Amino acid sequence: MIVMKKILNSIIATIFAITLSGCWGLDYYPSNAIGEDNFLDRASDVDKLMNSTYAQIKNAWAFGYDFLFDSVTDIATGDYFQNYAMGISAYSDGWFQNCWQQTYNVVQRANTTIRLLSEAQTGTGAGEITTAMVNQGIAEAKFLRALGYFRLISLYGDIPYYDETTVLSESFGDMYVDISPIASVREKIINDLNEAEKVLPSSWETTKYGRATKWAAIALRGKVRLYAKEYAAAAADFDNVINNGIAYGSTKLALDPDYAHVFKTWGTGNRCPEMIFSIQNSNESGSATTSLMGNKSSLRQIPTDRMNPSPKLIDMYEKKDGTPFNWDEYLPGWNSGNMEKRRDLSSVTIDLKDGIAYVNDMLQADTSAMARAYRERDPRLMVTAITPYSKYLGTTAGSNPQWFNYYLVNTTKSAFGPNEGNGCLRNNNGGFTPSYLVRKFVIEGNLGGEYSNAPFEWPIIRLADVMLMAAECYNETGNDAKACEYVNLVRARVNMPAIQKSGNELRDYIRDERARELPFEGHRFFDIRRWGIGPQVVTGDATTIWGSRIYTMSYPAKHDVWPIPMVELDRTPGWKGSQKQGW
Amino acid sequence: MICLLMLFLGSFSAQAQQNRRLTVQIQNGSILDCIKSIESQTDYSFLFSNSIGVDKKVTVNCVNQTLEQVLGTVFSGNGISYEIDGRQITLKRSSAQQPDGRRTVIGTIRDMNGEPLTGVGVVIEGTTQGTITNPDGSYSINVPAGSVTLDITSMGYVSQKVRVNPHQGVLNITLAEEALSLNETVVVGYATQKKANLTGAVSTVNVSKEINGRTTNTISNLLAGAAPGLVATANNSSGSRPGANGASLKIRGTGTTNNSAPLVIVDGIVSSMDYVNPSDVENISILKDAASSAIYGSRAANGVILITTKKGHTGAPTVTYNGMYSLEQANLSSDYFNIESNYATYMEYLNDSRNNRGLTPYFSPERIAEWRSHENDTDPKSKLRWPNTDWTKVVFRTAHVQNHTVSLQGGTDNVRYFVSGNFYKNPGVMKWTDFQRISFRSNLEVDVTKFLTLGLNVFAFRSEMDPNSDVASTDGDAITWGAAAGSPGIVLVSPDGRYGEYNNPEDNTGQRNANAFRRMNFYDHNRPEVQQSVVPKFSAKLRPFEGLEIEGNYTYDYRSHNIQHLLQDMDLWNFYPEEPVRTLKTVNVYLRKWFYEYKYQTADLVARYNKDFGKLKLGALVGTSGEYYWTDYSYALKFNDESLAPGEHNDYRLSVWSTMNTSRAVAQYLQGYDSEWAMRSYFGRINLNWDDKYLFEANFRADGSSKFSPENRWGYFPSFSAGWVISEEPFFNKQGLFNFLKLRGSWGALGNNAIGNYDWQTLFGSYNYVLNNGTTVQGMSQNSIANRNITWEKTTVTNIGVDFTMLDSRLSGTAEVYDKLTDGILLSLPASLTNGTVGIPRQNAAVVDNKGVELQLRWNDKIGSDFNYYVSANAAYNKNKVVDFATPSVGTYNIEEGQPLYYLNIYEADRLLRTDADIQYRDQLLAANPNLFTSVQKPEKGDILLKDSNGDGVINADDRVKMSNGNQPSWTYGLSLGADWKGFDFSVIINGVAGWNDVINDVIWRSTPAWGYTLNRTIAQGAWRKDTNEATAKFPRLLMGDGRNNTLSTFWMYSRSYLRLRNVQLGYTIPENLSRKFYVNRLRFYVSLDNALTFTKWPGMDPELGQSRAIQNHPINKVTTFGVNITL
Repeated sequence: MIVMKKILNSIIATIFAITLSGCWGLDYYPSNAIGEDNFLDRASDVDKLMNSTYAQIKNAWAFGYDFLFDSVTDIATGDYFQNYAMGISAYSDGWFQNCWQQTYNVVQRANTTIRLLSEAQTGTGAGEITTAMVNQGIAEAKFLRALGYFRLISLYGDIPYYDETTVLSESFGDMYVDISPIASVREKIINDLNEAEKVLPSSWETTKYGRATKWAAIALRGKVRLYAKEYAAAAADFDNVINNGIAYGSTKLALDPDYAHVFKTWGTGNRCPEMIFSIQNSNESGSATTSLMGNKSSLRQIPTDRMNPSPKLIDMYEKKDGTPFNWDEYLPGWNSGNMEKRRDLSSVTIDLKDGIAYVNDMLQADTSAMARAYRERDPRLMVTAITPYSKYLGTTAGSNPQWFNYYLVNTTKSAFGPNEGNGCLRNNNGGFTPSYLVRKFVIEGNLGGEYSNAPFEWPIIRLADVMLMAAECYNETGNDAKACEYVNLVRARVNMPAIQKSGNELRDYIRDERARELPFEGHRFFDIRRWGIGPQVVTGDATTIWGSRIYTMSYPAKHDVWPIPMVELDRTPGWKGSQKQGW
Repeated sequence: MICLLMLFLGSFSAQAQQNRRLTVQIQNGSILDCIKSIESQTDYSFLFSNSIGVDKKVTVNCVNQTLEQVLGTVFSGNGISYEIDGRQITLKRSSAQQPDGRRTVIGTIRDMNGEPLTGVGVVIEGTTQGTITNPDGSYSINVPAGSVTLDITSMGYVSQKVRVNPHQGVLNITLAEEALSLNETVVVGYATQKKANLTGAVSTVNVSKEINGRTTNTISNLLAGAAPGLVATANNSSGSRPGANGASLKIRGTGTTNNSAPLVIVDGIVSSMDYVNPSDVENISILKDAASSAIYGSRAANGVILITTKKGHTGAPTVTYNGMYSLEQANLSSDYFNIESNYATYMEYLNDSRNNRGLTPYFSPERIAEWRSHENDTDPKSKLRWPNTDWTKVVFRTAHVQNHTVSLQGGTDNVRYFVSGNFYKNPGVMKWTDFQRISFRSNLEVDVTKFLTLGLNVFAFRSEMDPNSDVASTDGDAITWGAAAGSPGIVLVSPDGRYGEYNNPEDNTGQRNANAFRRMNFYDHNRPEVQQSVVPKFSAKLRPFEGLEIEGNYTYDYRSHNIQHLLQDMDLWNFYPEEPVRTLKTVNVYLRKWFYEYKYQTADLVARYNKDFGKLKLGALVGTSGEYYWTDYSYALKFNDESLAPGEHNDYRLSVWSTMNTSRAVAQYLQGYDSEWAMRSYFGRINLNWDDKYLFEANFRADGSSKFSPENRWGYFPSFSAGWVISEEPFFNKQGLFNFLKLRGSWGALGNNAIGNYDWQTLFGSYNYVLNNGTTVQGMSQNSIANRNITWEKTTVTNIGVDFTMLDSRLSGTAEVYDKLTDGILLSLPASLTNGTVGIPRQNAAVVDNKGVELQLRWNDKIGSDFNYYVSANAAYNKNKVVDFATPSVGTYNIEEGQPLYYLNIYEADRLLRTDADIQYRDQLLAANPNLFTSVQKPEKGDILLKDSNGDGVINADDRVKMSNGNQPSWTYGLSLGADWKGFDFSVIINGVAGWNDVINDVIWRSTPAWGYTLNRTIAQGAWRKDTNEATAKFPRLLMGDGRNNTLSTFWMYSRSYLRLRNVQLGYTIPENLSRKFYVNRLRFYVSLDNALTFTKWPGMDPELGQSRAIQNHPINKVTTFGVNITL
């Protein structure tokens, strides 16, 4: 009996244990991702693939932080890339690496998309992927690839080129092709854009507004040609867009009658008729314009004003009658005055009442003259910048809308410094620095999202830009009348008088007009490079409103072409000798 | 005499006792009644055997007599004699009673901790007559007339031969532990082995010496220096923060770039030692070579730590209480915490740093003068207006820590139990870092029949941590970090509890985040971060016939981790005006919750067979196990709108918005994922032992894991080892210099599967976009490239060791030499950035070798009869080398073939340019090499000049040179010594590391100030200044916003070698016969100091913490503990 019982017990225990240890299989798949085998087998997957391909352009270091490029030029001051602005950055700088890697990511996303689409199983049944979808997707990806490579050659000059024949999962460890000359990359960019132009639609259905149209491809091709100084070919592309371009549905491209609206277009279904290609944003997934260009009084009071309009930019805006601006007309003695003199002409002291600042002593300041000095100007000034003795609708730290005043405060005489807590605007970077603040692209009030997600449509190419580029082409090819016509279209929108200029004078004027029309849209950095005027304009001190130095700008010759980032050079033994001139 | 002296402990008050008067009046009672009466009136206790006849009837009538008089009356004429020894009275039959002169000798045998020893052999020398001790340590032996010698032997203790004098009837003995107790049972994988028969490299931790009496919530913090080859370094980010994960452990160097932490097995299942109550631990084994750890196969490459908790044993129940009360203080002794607290000076420094960069200074001379004129003000109002705050004095405090453990241990013939409960409470050296934990363990075994034993072990805990605490040292909200982000011009908190901001209008006013102390109060402290776990383990052991045992276990390990943050901003005040002005008001309430769940199930079945065939002993083991792990995570966040009027205060608001439902959202987020893996294993072992002389062992394991593609799923891990016990050979004289000598060698293969759960699959993950100016549209992008070919990392270890005992087993030692080679290390190779950001798959792409030597020596002895002492020392040297590495990874911590893993790769600093001569030197260099400074900024006076080490005429990344032997110390050592004397015990633990260089350059320790941030006084004072300290400056000039001098160079390199007095402990055990009066068998009091002294040149927070995120670390604490151990 006992033996029987022992055997029985043994069997039971053994079965018990074996059952337990054998009950877990060894095949598991993640719950938050799809495996390759299950992807791209239905039509809706094509949209998903395309959406992710577009999404990469939004990355900070692809096109998402484009506005910050202006902070190393003469039209803005800033500390985000201050070493660069001062001309002292080295090739190890993270900026060079981030832009390189993330822009290549735009390219590789596009390459993968082209490859996957061309391998996709097509059919005509319900829910199946059609050949038309495949072709259209490939054309969009080629447009995005062209956009990425155009940025890369604009920054880095000669670069390595990869297309869809490079399969990352096979050659990720062996991405060491030789560096291609800029001309050959440009040729491939033009090819991609030519193919995109053929396939892309003239406009998209409403729900897909924001994807690339043939007008985007043509406008970009014009820009590529302009940068290559192929003015005639570029002008032809620009004219085509200006004359025939479609904004959305069947609405033709046109300058938005409200200049301010161009930078504050947001909300599903809202449109700005001059957008040709833009980054699409929302409250949930928006742009960093407010978190980086906004001030400490902007939404939730967290933004960091890393960049400010420079006094030079502000002074470039003409008076309403088109004549140049002169400080002495408003505050006599300003032009020849030093920092202390200008401070005395414009600053006050503040006290607090219920925690909110009010001016308790005007000292020697004429604040109304100061305020008029900005209002009686080209209207684009006040759209672009927040100026002293004006107001801005920010929020409390709890996101409730609140009006803030911009006082210039003499802190050696005031018991309090101006800050968002006491209802004042200020530049919070680099000490108590009286600077202009950015209004363009910065959230006003509470738009229902987060400060880090400015919902505004962000233009990569818009009509006014195209018109000014066209004007440049005509000026360079001697057709100054046509050039003035385009410049005047842009000026007429903001009720600025028409100009009649020619030759070099017109060339310089167009360049200034681009600065006035397009600040903080990421153009100035590239413009001064291609015009070769860096050393002439990015020089002298970056200053406060009072003219005191924040830092000294410098544009060494090597800034015309960015270096190969240090990490990449380290990882690519064959490139040791390929570093760009001067780095 | 020797034995009697052991009882001398209690004699200090015996004289007084002996003179005390007693009254014993017994009418026809037993001798036992008399004994009880005497015991009740005095501190004396009686020791006797029942066989001497204490039930005899007597009549005693003694009133107010001395003890001697009473004893004389009670024991006259009944054949019992007595001996007074301290406060113990030993009774025996009068030796003259036996006609042949034989008599009985009785006594008790204890170990050095005073614990009675059972099963000790007591044999009359030269005969086979003998006995063994009872569970209470007592024995009784009949000896012939005259003097005899007793031979007292017990496994694991130094044998003693003791002469018994002709009339001596009592012999109490204390046995010293053998230095290396060869008969000690060592826990190895799935079994136990005698130490003498081990052929692999296994170290054991002396739990009673290294662990007991030190208060901590994790064992790992106690292991530094405890065993050779084991490196325990304080957790890099959490330091001594209560409730944080324990120390990071490495066994025999870093073998891989992936997880290199050893596998921790608690009571047979993979677990974390962070949750185990140190008082519950019975023993800790560290398996270091492949022979001992191959049975754990694919996860054992970094070594294995086996922790076994206490079990019940047959015998009367014992209840023990261990209580500790500790005072903890952050160790702020390093230069790192020398904070510039004079605000006027601080402003001058900041202006300097602006001027040096050519920037307009922040602070006007007027403001500086104003603060300067008030720097010595003492009235409270002035101190609020013109503060000079040192945040370290506000943030840190002394923590009062409690730790209580009660346990019950015992058993009957067929039930054995161990039950313990622990309560640990540590409020933290920083406010709002409170941690407390309640844990419970029950180990129960029942012999159902002679051949079947069932067991149920349950471990459970619940810990609560202040919600601020985790954030305090891991997020950007870190307290030390946050505190550093504020200047001395801030009143952190005023006497009436208001939080200040920068008082000076010229400072960085209006900064919500400037006052870290205020940030610490953001959280609703009634919502602790809670971890709860229940781990039941069911087991069955079956012994169908002699020699065979089949064991099955099933464990379900459940843990949840719940974090809730109900955050609320706090008002900020400016104290500069006459009356404080509220400058920023409370806003922002939001609620966020994280919920993590972990389930780990494992089942195993093991059969063991042991049989002796004459001189050959055979042991065999086969087994199988299965494991399944699942984790789930979810996160929810709701921002509340701010619509209450000022003045409606905290409690009301918090209660209204305290749940996700009632909170009124302005924005909300949800996140979550789950993940799982499973593993199946088969393993076996065979042991052959010929006459305890020739030993052989082989192990095998096969593991299949879901982490690899089906083609590469299975890994096979064999190991072999052999030993030769030379001392068992006939030619060997065991009584000579060496008492035991064993030579052993092993070889085996191990694996490491420390990679992601799904790394072999190509995955498309969510990457959304927006269209139509505001509609989020779903996107899917390839976020990782697959590598189906990845498989186990394989580690092979060759180990040669020798174990010996010498000098009558008083000195023991172990020496080991090893070579550990890890092949196929899974690497994310640094691929070209032109790949974009797609996840580069890992590849089995590198080989790393660790070679090393370990030595452990232990000396145990006594001086005279009652002074026992031991000295234990260990040292280990490890040399790490990367044998093969596909692409060099260039960085500060570099990986390169032929070099140690993560060696420090930095620039050489030529000099700090101080004088005109230095500038001339620079210009000469520049003249010779015009391109010298094209990649770095040209250094000026007060800057560091880097060296063109490779002489190519340009200073760039290629000039970085090797400056360390990896990111681990080459040498580690530990020294532990202790002694006991008459109830006093004293011990010291020292440990240290040597041969380790590292750099430190963080926001505190650099000469690049930031606006509104803390400034280190040592650096600021030593910074180069024109015309003042030009020739003698120790640090570069202050330079705001320009990191040129932060380039990691030898200028910022320091040695991380240290020697630390880990623990000093002094205890006293009350004599047992005294404590018995209070029904206490053992009562010990002690004082223990942890981290009392540290010797190091490292200027950072702590040499154990290093530089990474240094300022966000929690410092290491100094601890003073007062403890009591009570055994009933």
